Amino acid sequence: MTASSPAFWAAARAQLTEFRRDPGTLLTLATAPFFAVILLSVTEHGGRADLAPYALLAPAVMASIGMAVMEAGETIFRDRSTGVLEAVLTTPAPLTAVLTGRIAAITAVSLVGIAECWLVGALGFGVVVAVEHPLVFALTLLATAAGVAATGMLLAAVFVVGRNVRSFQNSLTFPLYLLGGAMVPVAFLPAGFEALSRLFFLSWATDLLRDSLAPAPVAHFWPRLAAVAGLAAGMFAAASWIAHRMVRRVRRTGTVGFA
Amino acid sequence: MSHIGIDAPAVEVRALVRDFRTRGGPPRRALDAFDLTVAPGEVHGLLGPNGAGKTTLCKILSTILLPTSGSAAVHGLDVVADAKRVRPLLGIVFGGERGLYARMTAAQNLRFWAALYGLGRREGRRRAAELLDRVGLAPRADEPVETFSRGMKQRLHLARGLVGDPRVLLLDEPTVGMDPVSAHEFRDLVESLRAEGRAVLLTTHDMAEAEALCDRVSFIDGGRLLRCEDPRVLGELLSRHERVRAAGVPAALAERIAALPGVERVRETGPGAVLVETDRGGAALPVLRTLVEAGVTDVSTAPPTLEEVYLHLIGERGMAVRP
Ligand SMILES: Nc1ncnc2c1ncn2[C@@H]1O[C@H](COP(=O)(O)OP(=O)(O)OP(=O)(O)O)[C@@H](O)[C@H]1O
Ligand SMILES: [Mg+2]
Repeated sequence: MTASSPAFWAAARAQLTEFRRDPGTLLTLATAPFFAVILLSVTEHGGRADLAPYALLAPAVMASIGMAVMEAGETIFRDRSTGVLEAVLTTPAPLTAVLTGRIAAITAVSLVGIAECWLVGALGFGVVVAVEHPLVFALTLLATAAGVAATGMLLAAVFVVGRNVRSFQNSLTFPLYLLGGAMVPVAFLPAGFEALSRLFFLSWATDLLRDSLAPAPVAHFWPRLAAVAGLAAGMFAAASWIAHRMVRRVRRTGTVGFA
Repeated sequence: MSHIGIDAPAVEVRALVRDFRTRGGPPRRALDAFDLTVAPGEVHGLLGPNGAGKTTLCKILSTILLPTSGSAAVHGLDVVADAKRVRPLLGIVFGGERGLYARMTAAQNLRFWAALYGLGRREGRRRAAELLDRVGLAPRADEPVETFSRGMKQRLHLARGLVGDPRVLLLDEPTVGMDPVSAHEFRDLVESLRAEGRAVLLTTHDMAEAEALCDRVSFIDGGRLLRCEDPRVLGELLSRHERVRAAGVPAALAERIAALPGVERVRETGPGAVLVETDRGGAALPVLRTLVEAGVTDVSTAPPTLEEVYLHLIGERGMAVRP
């Protein structure tokens, strides 16, 4: 485990370099301001200034989870096709250290979406959404970031066995936006959907983030935060387990088999 | 035995078998009861045709592939049971262009891999600079790898293999894509690795390279060890079985050449084109003289191919003592 920490940071730096060299990888982030303009136009012209926090939060959350699907989800798949995965497995560094380093960097960058959306509100519409409960907001954001990273890691571990990752990715983003309550709080969804969405950390997270922007006191903060963190941890554990099995499979069969 | 054996062989492979599943058919045996010992500081050649099992062996040694049966150890540590302790001892260079981040620079790549071997940032920087210099890439250190030629990527692979300061280096066709000058520099590099006491397992198709570099050479075919030899045996085979190619040779002349001493066979490879195979050192010279005197000038000589050397090796196996 001695190589874990240097490997984590090196992988994070490598990912940031990747972003710099290929800005196309940031495309998901570039769509956030446009979504913010659309949604805020609707709420402002509909005379629903009270919905401004919803309109700004939605595109920011979508950008972050979108990056997890499009970028983080592809990490192992891409490393495999370039032969980097095999080389990583010959080093003393654990694959999970390399993986979490890269995905942590992707997640951190994806949070820029929040700033983008808030700027659109302030500069484009003169709408400044205040954070009424800063501590709730900060802690929830932290747990949310962990959950987004865990989502990315789980997808990375799952996508590696698939042949057609792109189509998976494209068809996955919208169900995740929906179940995560990114645009519409899951309480507004049909009953079956809501029950399912409660298994996904993001539904708890988006509710909490919206509550942290409203003046009313935040009810049951700690249990709800625990739900975000717990579900994120569960997803992380599942991801590590699948990644571990994948490595064993590579060593046994000589290739990462196609599903 | 779990301590890193200083006096244990650098590489010790015993009765190693690896089967691969095939679609529908019976399993394919890539390695079959394979034995190999490489001493510390030894440069050991692994010579074999395509599909012989060379890469499979390197992968098992580098802990990314499990043996079906048998054992492999690096400095006394089993590559399966002690994989975690084996990895820091190894440097691996797989041939080709894979295994690098194309968009990152050479220096960034090396620093990344240095970190994966547990080096801190400062140390990684220093090691990267040192190795780029050693493989002659220092002037291009800050250019993205995707702008590199094949041979330059190959040099970077070599540097990558050395970044963890390995005791044992596995080089799987490291000179693929290198020009003769680079290949020559590569030989110097391997010499210096030997001088540093590192063991090197060098996989290659290039018999001349194996002869020039290696302390011993193992011949592998169909997953089996044919022979393990002093490279001088190889050199001897290469000169003994020299071949002469000529064009514009009339049939009568071809017959005269076939009757010369030391000429094993004259094969027609096209209209008037022949390939003369010899089986005695110096036999090529009278062949050349005869051709030239008869007015044939389109003549060339060449060492035998790997396949031919193999045939001779297998043919002589009865007399040879296997180590
Ligand atoms: N993952 C795999 N699945 C099935 N068969 C495999 C796999 N890897 C290797 N083989 C088979 O094992 C045999 C040995 O392959 P290997 O790559 O070790 O040969 P090699 O000596 O390195 O050849 P080359 O000189 O072409 O690199 C071949 O028949 C190959 O097809
Ligand atoms: Mg090979």
